Amino acid sequence: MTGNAREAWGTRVGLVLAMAGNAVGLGNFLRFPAQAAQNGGGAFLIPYLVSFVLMGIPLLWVEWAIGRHGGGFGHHSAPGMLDRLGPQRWLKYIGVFGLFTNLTVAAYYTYIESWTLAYVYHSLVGTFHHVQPTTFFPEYLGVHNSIFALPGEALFFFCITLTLNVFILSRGLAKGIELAAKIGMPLLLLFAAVLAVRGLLLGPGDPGVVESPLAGLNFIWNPNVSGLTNPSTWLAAAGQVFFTLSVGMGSAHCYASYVKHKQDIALNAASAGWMNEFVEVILGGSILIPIATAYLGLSAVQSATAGGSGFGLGFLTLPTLFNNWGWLAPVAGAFWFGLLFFAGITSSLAMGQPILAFLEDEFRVPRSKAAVAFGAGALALGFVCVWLYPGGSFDEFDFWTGTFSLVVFALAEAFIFAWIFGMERGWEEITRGADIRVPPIFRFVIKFVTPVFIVVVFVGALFQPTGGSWLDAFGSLFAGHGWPFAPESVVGRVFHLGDAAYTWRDSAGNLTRAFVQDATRLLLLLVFLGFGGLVWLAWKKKRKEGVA
Amino acid sequence: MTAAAWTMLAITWTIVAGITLRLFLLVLRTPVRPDGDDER
Repeated sequence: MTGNAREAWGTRVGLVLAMAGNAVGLGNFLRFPAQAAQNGGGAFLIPYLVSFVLMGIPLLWVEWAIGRHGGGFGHHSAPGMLDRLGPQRWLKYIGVFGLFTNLTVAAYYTYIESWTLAYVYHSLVGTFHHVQPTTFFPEYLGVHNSIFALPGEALFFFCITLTLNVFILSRGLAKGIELAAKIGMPLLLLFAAVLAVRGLLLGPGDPGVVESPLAGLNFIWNPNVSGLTNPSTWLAAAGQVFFTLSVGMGSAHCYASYVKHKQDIALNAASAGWMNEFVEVILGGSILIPIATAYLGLSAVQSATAGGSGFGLGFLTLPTLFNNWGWLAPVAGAFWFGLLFFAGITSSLAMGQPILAFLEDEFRVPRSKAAVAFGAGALALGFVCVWLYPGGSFDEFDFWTGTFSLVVFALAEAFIFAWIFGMERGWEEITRGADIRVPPIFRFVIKFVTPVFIVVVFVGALFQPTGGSWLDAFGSLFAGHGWPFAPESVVGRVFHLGDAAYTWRDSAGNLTRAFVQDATRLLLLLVFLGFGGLVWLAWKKKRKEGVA
Repeated sequence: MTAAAWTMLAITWTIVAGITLRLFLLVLRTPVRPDGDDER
């Protein structure tokens, strides 16, 4: 028996809502509409749905199957689960990604989550009636002419958010995470529906409206069919599907590990995955861009989303636009940032649970103490993000833990599941107790197609060209001018291609962004090695006890 | 909005909403299988 062997989901709906909450995040509302609009509009949805069916859903089944299989052996975190997939001793060290990613992403993600909580408060007290969010936001983050920041209010809301996460996690699966999902997800849907309907009904008679919100909807949905032949569109679609589902983290595995041996995972996984798509495609596409278009006009929205992110619109523009809604303005702001908060907290809870499970399973740490340990770890790493936010530490966390590590882990687990565990056993694991018929073609898809999709996403991140045009990049390569690595590609980041002059100190002797970036990378590497050391210790202990 | 945009929106929303609703209703209606022993 293990430390948390008696943990279980209270209800099936609770499990599906918690898993959907894990997937639904801020990106559903901020990133998806901008990505769709910038990559072919309605035509983007074709590669997007193809990627969802050929990569997203199969990967969800793989993660649920690995999770339930590992849970059967008393493992509820990735190292133990992967260790049970084959005789190779190194498998458990691949699982280190499933701990590292969750803690490090939680560190900066709960910081973003705390911004939404602060924005709910400021919306309700009417701050944005007299302060522009473009002034408020940098002030809130403490961004001045320095690479350091110590913003009191941001730290306060960060601590509140972390405490709330720790409290919910300490209550356990059914009474904590499941209850939070059962409250948070319906409220998120309600808030989103209210804002979408109100936004789409804006007309010329409403104060401040300069264009129909349908022009914004048209911006997202009008199909630019030529985009279908552009590899960048396919890459963007595959990337969006990958990151929206929260795969490659180890959190879905953890939730699924509490599902019993003969109970369904096929239907549960598919239902949670499609629920995420509903929130993203239908609700996510109907709020930000249509409302912003109504008040700013289409051309302003087009330039605001040119980078493929709606973050600026969501945090810097929308709070002011809601002022046009009269008495509804504070409520609308609270609804918008409230739904982002619920989207965030249901995801950050899913990041905490694998850490708790690892400490409980492998080191017999009681749940409440494990929750506090998770909170302390996230606070320590999160403080680095807060303190060095202007120096670029936050962005480094986001890229190396929230992007790069996810793809590496997903790639590894897809190969291990299909080729080491084997598709014979893998298929039996996915279909055992299934309440839907999983089409047999997915046996082939999981073995060959899904890994190829992830390789494509990985190569896309590794070699992303300047300007995002792969055709131009190949043209440059074959013309003998070399590959134009984008500064935001993996290679570009490793070699600091975005820095005009790479140096740790400027001419005045002050530390530079490059120093902060390198120091953050070193910190992340140490955290990864630290988790590797804990896994080594845990298995050494197991061998001593004769249970490894 | 153009006719092409309306068409894409209608088709995609129908597919996504239809499948989501169908699967969620199946989750609600299908009783959980009893499984007393989950530790191997």
